[in-house]
Amino acid sequence: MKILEKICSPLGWLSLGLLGYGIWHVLNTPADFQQGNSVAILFVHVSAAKMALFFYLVLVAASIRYLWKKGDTADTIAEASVHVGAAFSVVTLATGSIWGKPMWGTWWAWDARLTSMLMLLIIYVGLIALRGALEDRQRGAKAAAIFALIGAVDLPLIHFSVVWWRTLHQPASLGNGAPKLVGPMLTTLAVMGVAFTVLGTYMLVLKTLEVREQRRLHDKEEEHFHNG
Amino acid sequence: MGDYSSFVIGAYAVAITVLGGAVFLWKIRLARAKKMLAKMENFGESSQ
Amino acid sequence: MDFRLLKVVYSIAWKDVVGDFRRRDTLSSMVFFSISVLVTFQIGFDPDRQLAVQLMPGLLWVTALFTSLVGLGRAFQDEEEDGGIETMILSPVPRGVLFLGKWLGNLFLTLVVNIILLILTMVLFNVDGWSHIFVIIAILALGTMGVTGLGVLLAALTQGTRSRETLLALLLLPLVVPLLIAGVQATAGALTGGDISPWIRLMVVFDVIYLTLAPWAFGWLVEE
Repeated sequence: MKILEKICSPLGWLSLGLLGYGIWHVLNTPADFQQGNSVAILFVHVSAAKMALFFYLVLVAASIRYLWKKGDTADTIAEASVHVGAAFSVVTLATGSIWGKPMWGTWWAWDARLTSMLMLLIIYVGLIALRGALEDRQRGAKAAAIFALIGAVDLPLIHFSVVWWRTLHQPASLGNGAPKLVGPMLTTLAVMGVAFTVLGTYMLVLKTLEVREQRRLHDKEEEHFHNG
Repeated sequence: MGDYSSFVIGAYAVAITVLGGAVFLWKIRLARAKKMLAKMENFGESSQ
Repeated sequence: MDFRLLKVVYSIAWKDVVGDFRRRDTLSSMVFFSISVLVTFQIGFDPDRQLAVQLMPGLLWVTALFTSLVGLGRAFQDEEEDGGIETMILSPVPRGVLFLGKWLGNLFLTLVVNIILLILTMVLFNVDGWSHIFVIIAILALGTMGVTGLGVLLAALTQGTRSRETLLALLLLPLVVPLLIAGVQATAGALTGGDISPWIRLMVVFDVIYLTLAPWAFGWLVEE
């Protein structure tokens, strides 16, 4: 855990730098034939989506670890990853919606990917609510871990059923989600992808440290309450 | 080819606000928690 | 197969079912809740005959889902009053068996209500599905198994928390989306005579996965 404190700040600066570099790339990428310069939104949207999903994997790993070994560290990381994942889900949905407006004419479309991402966000929010509702930290940790794992099995099922459902109702008219990116756009996407990965890692480290301090504070307050 | 600059700017603004906002919020909370903890340590020591 | 275990499952389930039927409060609240939902839909949408047929599968499933939530809210109520889920740990019965008993009790109750709901929906909205009714009941049963299975597990997970019903709904709804999608599509297909086997397969897969995982997860949850 001490390592985290040391790398937090440097990671923050590194993300900032990489994001700046990424944005420079975005500004220098020629506009797409079909989408005009709205393709610029996709660089953020796709990167955020990857992060939103990635942090669920982190959550799963932490949850399994917690249920197996019961460490406080695992639980802290699990809690942190939910918040980071939720933040990226919100960005994915918002940027997806904004990209969709000029493309599809609507602020929202119930296409497979956006719907699945919305479900992911709701599951993240549910996890936050679950922890909040359970006052006993051990109970909260266990419940959250179990729910996270149930969600992990469920998310592929949800995505699969939503895709199936939408292919029945929406022929290609809506466009099948994001179109393919080629050429210089791929480089920009890659750069943004790396930048977001570093940013996400930074956010995870930061949030983990914050959760840890909050827990310590809470424990101290309990202690004083009982001794005072 | 279309010019969707306002949408692009809007999207980036949202992303920066959400992600930057989260980072900002968590940093403040972390600092505040550390300060409160330090205060409690001192309080504990002085009352001993 | 250990018949004593089966007997225990049966007795746990039966105790809940008999309790509900005797007190009648859970059963009647659920039935009347579903009726009010149907009335609300009628007032809100005021569908003509044609629209009613189109809406009916969705209407049926959404109402059934919300009604199930009412029943699930009470799933561990007796245990809560008698000293919490911890008292279940004291019994020597294996956790998985405990879960099965609770689940089957809730399933029976909810299924009865859902079948009543189905009949009411068809009557109130003039939808003629009578020739396909057994297929629809089967689809409803598949969905109810999954919803109550996950629901009982989540009810145990959220037991004793503030605003428990809201939390339960928030947690359960996203998880059962596959069942909802498949259920509505399959019901619509049954009414119009389309091919519903892929949807049925999805529901079966879902149920098999979760009815295997849930007892296990319940054991984890309840053990110390």
